[in-house]
Amino acid sequence: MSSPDPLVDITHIRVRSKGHHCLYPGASFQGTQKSGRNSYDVNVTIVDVNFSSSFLCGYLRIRGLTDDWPELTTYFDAEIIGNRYGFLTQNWGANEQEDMVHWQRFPAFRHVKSDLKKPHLTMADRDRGAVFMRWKERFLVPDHRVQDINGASFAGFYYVCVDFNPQPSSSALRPAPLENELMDLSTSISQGKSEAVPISPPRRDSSARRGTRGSSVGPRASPPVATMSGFYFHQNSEPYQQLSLCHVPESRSSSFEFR
Amino acid sequence: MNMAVTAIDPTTLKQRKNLVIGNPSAKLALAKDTAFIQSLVGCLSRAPLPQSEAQGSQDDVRIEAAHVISSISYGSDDALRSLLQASALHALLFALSTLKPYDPIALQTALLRALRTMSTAVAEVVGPSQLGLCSYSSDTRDEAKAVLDFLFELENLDVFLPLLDNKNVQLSTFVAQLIGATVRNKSHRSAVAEWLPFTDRIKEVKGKRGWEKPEAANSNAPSRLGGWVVRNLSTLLQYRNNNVQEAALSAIAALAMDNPNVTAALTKLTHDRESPTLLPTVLSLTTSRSTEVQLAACLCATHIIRANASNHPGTVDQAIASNIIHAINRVLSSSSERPPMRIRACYTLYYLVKDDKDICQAAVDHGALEKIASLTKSITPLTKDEERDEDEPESTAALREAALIVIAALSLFDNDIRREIADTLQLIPVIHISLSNRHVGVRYAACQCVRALSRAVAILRTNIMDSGLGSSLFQIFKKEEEDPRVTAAALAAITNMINDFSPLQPKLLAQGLMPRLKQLLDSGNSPTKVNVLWAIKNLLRKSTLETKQEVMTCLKWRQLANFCMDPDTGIQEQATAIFRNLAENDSGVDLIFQEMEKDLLFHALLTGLDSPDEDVKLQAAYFLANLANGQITHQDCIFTYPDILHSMHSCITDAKPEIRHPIMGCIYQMLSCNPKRRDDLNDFGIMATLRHMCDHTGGVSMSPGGRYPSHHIPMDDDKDTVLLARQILELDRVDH
Repeated sequence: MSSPDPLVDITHIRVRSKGHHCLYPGASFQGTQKSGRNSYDVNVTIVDVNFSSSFLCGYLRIRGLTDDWPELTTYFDAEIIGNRYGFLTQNWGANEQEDMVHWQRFPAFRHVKSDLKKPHLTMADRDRGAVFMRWKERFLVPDHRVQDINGASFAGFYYVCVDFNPQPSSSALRPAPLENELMDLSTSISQGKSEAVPISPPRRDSSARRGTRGSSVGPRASPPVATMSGFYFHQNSEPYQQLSLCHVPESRSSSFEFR
Repeated sequence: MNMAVTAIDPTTLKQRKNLVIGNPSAKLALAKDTAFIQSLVGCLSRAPLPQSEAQGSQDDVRIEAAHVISSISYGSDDALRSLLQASALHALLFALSTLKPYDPIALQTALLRALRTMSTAVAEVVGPSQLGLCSYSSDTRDEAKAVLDFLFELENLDVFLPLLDNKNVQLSTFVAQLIGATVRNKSHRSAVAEWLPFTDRIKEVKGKRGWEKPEAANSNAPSRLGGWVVRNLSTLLQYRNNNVQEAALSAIAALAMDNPNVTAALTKLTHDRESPTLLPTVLSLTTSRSTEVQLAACLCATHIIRANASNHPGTVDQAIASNIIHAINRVLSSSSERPPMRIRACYTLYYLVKDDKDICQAAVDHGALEKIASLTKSITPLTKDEERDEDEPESTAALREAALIVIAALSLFDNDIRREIADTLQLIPVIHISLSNRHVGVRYAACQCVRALSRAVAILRTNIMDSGLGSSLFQIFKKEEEDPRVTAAALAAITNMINDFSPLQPKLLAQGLMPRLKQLLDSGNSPTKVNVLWAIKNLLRKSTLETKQEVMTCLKWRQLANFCMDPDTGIQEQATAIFRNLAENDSGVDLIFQEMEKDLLFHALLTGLDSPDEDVKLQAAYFLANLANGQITHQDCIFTYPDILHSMHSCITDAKPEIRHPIMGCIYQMLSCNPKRRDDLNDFGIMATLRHMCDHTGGVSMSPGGRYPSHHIPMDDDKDTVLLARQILELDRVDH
């Protein structure tokens, strides 16, 4: 700062919202959420991404959940698992065992579990071909003042995995892990108290199917389309409500940057 | 008014001095008496003595003249302007340089004290301000800047810096105070930090072998351990006197700020027992009994550790940072501390956390944010009361400004901290009321807080809407008579609030956003233009065709194209990004081709593609990629400009992967829509380059000057680029 320009600023660092693969501002994912026999169309839009702060946020839109709300959109914040946030949630009613049961349903988790560091099961930030996140829905969009929605709730949170190179032959999700798998993993973490997952009336459900591929004519069509998988968790909700989405590639781009 | 003094004698001067002390109106009246000021400055020089006059009498006049200059130089722009016009600082330096050994020490002290006081006043006008925004006057500033530059010329440094090594510690203290208050920019900092006494300068030149630094080659080199000035300032720290220690710490802080050349020497281990590492001494003084010394030590340690880590972001010594934060917290939370001390504590914390998200987090974790929040709430009534606001002490407003600046700095990089400010600490009402404060600095700081909070999408959609903060800020932004620094901070917040995900966007557009932006664009300097174009870029992203048309009706197509070719790369980048966002969909591309003269459009695009600035080039590459996804006729248009194809080739050979990627997408798109374009792509060497790219597993760079050497793929982005090249070649093969 060599001179007191009248426009002198309190910061000299730009906050470029830099994406990673398909996780960039404006990225869109389409698919479904499934619970039991019900399935609902879901669309996720990434609004802002900041990997250096392990942060991401976006909108989750679900259709046909209740009669009163044919379309519901929530804003969510994401904690990106890495050096800052570990796999242990320690919040929103989830204990260690529940965390592990959920994370192990993502095939990509087995590639990282040996790298986890106590006590929060963090891992070094680097490109691992997949990104793990926890999404916490905060409020409804567009009207954030609406609190009560008859027949729906966002009191819980999502375990999410975005796999940039999903194996076409294998399912994006795995069944619940076996007991011995849990025990293997638990050698690196403290033993959590095993609790029965309460069954609640289904809040959101859908049938798992691959989302539709985007109509992009660009060259991004050839690499495998990234998948986004998730499980909704709330102590009083039905377990393993599944979110299964695919990235919708785009042929054009636009950009914004916070000041 | 003219208060011409017929005769200047010690008694008259003493009377004048006593009259102006603590009396701003008398000070101003005296300053306006230009004849008196000229006489006063003239008194500083040694005049040939008439037979009848004793030497002592002339010394007394010179001493009293220096005292009066000290008194009137500080606190009034008008008074300072009079002194500048009378060349008072030059006269002080000349008087000091011509002192004789037999001159009384009182004369030397008075002259040096006046030099310190006047230099400090000059530096306050020149800035940058150390403790909050000061009044901004461009008239005085230009004159003051020239005088300050003169002060730091070598021959003038030779006048006062040697006094740092003087038996009279008061003289050394004045010099240290002068350095602490006036060294505020890089060139002045280097001039002082690297200064050597004349005899040492000779030694340095003689002993220097061209390839090695003298301090590295010789442990007795005059420039060792941070330099002669820093070494002598370090010696002053040994005095058990608070004033001396505070002055020395402030001076070292001023020299250490953003200056790793000095700070590396202050922190590295040394085997020299007589010259131990300075940092532990500085840290020990953060627990001094004197708050002034504590804060000076905190500031000094702050600048040392921040400068040391400046070449490697994220490497600030966290343990030392924690020590500093604890010391600052003590001052902030002590109700017995006076506002000036708390103001200094706030700005020290600001310098510590500025632009370092890890230290911001550490400060929050150690409770600094909570303490600042509590302090701010305690001095900020949440209701407007004009009478009470008029009666509020200036120091309270300055403290509020300082606290809000820290809050803004702490919340610039992390959403959890922003949420804590908005939800847990409930600071939005305090920020809101401060937006309409009568003090410019408070309004500026409040705007910076809104700017930082509006970087969080959740807060944009909730707290800022509910509280009316966004609307209040917009009213400030629209005020044409507002201080330009406040307008700039408000514009930064507005830039965040007009993104597509902000519910405020349509409201602000309807309330006259674009005309105000255009007004600033047409009347502003380069930084203002960059900021306005940045806002328009955000506004246009994911906008409707109607919004695009409305914005461009106001901005004008030709003007936007000219901005793409502006000499300022910041303007170029934002203008090109606006074109990119305009071309984000089919209707946007059609609009561009419909409204823009082709030659001008492609000239603007070409300027971006050929720019040596990577940020500009990146936006141009994405703009081109967006155009290439338009109608076939638009694509054909691109092929009528061979220079564009040539630049595309340069980009895929020499640019970084982020730039190559959109260019390759563009090639794919154009070839897939019309295989006959292969010939043109061949002619410009593009297909050959792509083949070369794929032939070498990782080899991407073909040109001899390419930035990325062959046989090396450092990033996944590079792999993606090679994959794209294969897809393009595959397309070509199938079409054959």
